[in-house]
Amino acid sequence: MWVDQFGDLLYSVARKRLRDQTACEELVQETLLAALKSKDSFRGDSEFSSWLVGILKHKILDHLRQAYHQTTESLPDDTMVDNMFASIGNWKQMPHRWKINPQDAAMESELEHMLAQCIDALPDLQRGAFTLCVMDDGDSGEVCKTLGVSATNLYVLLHRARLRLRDCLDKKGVGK
Amino acid sequence: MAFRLPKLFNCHVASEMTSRRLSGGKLGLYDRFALGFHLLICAGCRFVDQQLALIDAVARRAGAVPPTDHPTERDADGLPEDAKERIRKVIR
Repeated sequence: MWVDQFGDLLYSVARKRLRDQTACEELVQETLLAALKSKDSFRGDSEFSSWLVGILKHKILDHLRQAYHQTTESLPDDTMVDNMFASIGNWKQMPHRWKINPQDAAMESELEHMLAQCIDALPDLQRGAFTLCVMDDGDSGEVCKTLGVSATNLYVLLHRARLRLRDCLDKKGVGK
Repeated sequence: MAFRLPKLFNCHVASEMTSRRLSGGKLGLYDRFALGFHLLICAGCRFVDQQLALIDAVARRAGAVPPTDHPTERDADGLPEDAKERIRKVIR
């Protein structure tokens, strides 16, 4: 059955983008049901799993649109990011170099694993902005519509998300 | 009117510009100059510049769909067995 063959793959794609495990399970189910209904439209010019993931990604966007249906006019302060800087805007704790060998596959895999944990710990809007814009390379205009934020606020969310991820990885000992 | 040099970036603003650049945002001539100058004199921001680019690259790779239909390539984060059972019943 498709759920045995593709369930894990679809679930992992959803979990990389959404924190809510129950929602991820429901989206996998909806994806497989939608695929069953429209399986005749699969033309075979891509792998079947890629086709399923394409359906799932649309469903994830719909889910996020519903979750962020209200437009966010102004973002709350992010004290965690603000606290990284002194009042004059310089780093409170000077960042250090990460010793990372890009050729080291094991290190790369470990980094990916730690990054997934750090993404999971981001506040919802930052997580949505980062996963849609960076992981999925989404169009920023579409991401703004999905999350209900202005283009300026999207830049703010991405900036905060990246600094939090850097800080999280740093605390996990990356590159030491 | 006296000519005044624009204020140079601090680390906070430099990291905003680094992030904006990574997001494909266009920086004006002054912003590019100010960011370049700041990165020249601030080692911490140079490291952050590289680290944020690395984070984006790793996230982009992680977001890419595994190009295979083979179940051996599954991610460790699998669909729980009770959810599978529920879905089997619905799809049956």
